[in-house]
Amino acid sequence: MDEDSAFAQDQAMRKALLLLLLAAPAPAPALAQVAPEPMHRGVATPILGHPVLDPAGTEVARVIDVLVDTDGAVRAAVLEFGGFLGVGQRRIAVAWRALMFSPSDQRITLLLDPEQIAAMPEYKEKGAPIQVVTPATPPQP
Amino acid sequence: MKPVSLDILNALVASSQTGFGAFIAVYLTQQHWTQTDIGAALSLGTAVAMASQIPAGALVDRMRSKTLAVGVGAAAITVSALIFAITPHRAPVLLAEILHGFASCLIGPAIAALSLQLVGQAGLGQRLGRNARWASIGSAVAALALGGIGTWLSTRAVFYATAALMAASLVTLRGATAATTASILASSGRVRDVLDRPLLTFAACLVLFHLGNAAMLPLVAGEVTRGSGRWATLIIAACIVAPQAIVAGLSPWVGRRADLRGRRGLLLLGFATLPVRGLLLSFGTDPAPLICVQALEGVSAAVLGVLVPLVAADLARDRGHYTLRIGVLGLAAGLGATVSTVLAGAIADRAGTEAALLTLAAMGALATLGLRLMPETRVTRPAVLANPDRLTGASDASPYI
Repeated sequence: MDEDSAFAQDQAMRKALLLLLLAAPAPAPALAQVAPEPMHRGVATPILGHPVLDPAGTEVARVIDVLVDTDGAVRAAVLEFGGFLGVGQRRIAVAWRALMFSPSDQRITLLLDPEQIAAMPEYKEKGAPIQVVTPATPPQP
Repeated sequence: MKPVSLDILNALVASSQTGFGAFIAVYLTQQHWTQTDIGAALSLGTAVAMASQIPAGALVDRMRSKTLAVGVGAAAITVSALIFAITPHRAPVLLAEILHGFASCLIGPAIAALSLQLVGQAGLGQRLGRNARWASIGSAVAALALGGIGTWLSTRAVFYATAALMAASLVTLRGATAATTASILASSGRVRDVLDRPLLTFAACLVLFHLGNAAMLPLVAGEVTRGSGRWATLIIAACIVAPQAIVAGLSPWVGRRADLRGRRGLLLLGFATLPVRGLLLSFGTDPAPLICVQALEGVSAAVLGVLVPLVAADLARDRGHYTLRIGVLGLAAGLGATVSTVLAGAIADRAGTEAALLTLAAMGALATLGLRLMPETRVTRPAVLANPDRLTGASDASPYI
């Protein structure tokens, strides 16, 4: 464990040094803020491919895409449900607020009934307007 | 090479190929690839596989050692699987897709040519039946085992397992097969003569068949995922494994029957199950009837698995270019299968799953009708007829045990 964290620190140092080296010769007088903003592990996490659980804790889907509006605000996630050996998956767009994120263990829980998901048409990248499943009641904090 | 080694080779290659295609999309999603990039990589693989069919067939014809051809293909697929496991990044993955696309086109015809070297043309139907049996056993076991590894271990482990299976297949190639210089395996005949009428007719029928076949299970499986909740994955798994079990049971019979009675009746049987399947599936997707109807796919798969390389051998008799002909037929199958998904998806979006299934059934019916233009290709040879033991098909009388 110690070795791991030491290694991680070492890696972080190297990265920071590298960034400094890269940043140093760049003439950037107008932009004074070039220092990178540190973000602790666990604060943010990559989301593509992240498993999505049902309230009982069983894995039911994976996040395969995130839909944002013109302002860049996140509106919906595209989840892929089911399938075996690449056959029979369904892609459904669900409202962002139908997902509950628990920061402590990086779990993503889907607050929707299976019936709601079953009733939805599949998400398509092009063509008809995107149908987004929304939770019946706003999620409790 | 011993007959048993060829059995094992078929099982290992099929099991490895099962693992390869099925897990790429899931694996790359887990590696934070976007859907656009995954789609591009998979399309590249499909395009290369399509473009390679004919060159790879011609290459196998030209290679004196068919064992070497299988070996090169198996080694390339092993490397490709290892690339996926070790560095799932853009450039290596694209390289692995190209490698895998070409190698897959090399290894199939090469195994058929190796089989022909082993048993000669007279016993080829039986041998191809045995190939198909072992390939489906390998593929069914792999579907379950690799599915388990993917679920409980990791998707990356699936690619290591795939590489190990393919590398193991290299061991079966030890001990050279006597390099027969049968005229059928030669590449000296005129290439122009390869695209004769029977081959083009058969190729057209295969395009139509795969146009109807390829999208059928995915279409139904989507409905199963929607309607069957927790059980969906198991039902889909059964729909994939049940036909393999039928192929394992049926293929040797198909091979014997083709040697004894000819190819045409079997082809009609195999093709005709497709429209029946499409029609039955359009009535609904209750699990038990669904799995039974899907098992019918095994009948088609057994017939095609044996008869595609067998008819190619019939047509190559005395004229050479055996694996080039297999390549032409492989390209036809690939074209049909690729268009099938697009066609079925478009119809399902506009008119529903039922309409899409009925369209696929109609393609199957057209393919079956087209077969009527196909002549019987079996050539009865007096030398074979004089030796009834070879025709009874009892496995203890077969020439390669």
